[in-house]
Amino acid sequence: MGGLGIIVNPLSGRDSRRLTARADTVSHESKRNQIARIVVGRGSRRLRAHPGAWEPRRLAISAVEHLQIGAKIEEVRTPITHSAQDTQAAVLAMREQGCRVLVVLGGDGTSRAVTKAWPDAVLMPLSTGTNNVFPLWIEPTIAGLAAGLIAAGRIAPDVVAPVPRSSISILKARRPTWRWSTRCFYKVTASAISGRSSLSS
Amino acid sequence: MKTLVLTRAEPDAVGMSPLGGLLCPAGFADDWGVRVDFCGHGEGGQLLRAPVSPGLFRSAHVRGATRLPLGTPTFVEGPGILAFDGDRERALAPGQRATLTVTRTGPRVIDPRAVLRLAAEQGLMLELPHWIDPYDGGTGGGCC
Repeated sequence: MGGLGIIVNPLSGRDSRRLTARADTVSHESKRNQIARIVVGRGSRRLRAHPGAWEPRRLAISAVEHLQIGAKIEEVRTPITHSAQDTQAAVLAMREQGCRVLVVLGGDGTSRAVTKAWPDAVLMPLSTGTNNVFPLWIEPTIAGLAAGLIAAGRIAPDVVAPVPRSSISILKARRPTWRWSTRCFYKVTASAISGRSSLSS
Repeated sequence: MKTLVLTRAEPDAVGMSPLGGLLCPAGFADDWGVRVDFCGHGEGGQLLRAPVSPGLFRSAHVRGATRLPLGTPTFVEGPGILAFDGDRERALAPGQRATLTVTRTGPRVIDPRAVLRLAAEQGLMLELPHWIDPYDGGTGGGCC
């Protein structure tokens, strides 16, 4: 394995904003189709096995199993908790297996989960979420082609510049409280990659 | 919502980002983030209407929106909740202070246009091994 890993969030694009706003639903079939286009776009003969996150709907493996182009998904089996931890566990396993590039299908939160586990990963994030800023809206075939060139080492990854991140340190913890408050609500956002928080008191 | 700290304030996005982007834009290549402070109705500020979700606009009273140069810390004080991309993760106790800094230490994101331009300049798509996709019935297996 190695090369190009595929992370897909089966829950992205499906939350209550279909009801509270006018967002579209992103179907499982749409995600499968996008994965197939990524893998076809990737198109290399040298790296045919793509590590894919193991998740209940097996979107990545079912997207590729009948392509008949020699590509297949090697499932990265990490424990399923139905939470962002699943994404992070898969990312860590892919890093250990030598992945150079992660294709991430999901929303801002999915990319954020990925980078919490692997802060300086090289990403090809595609939006299958709602209200996304961080992932790109681009034809998956082209995304797969570009990501494949990087994963195969044909284009050096140093052409890919780091994006902004926000970091946080919390000071003066006089009395910690974990009760939710909606009166004062700070939001740290935008490109999702608000990653690593450090807590000091 | 009291304060937004945005690494990307995109005027053409939907969600929280345009709340900064429609006042003080910041793209991923810019060397600054944006801080937006809000106030309540009747507390002054300017009324901004922004698309906060697909097909959904809301208005917010904005006290100010300013650039945050990379590496420059800004502060918020509790009580409150720190949320990251909508995920409410940390509570701030009354008087507890958080320092927020936008830096260029995020992950590296592939720009397909730039990569494929390089591929073209280096001729990387030429003389590749013959490619047969069984899905493509139009070629009959030929290469041209």
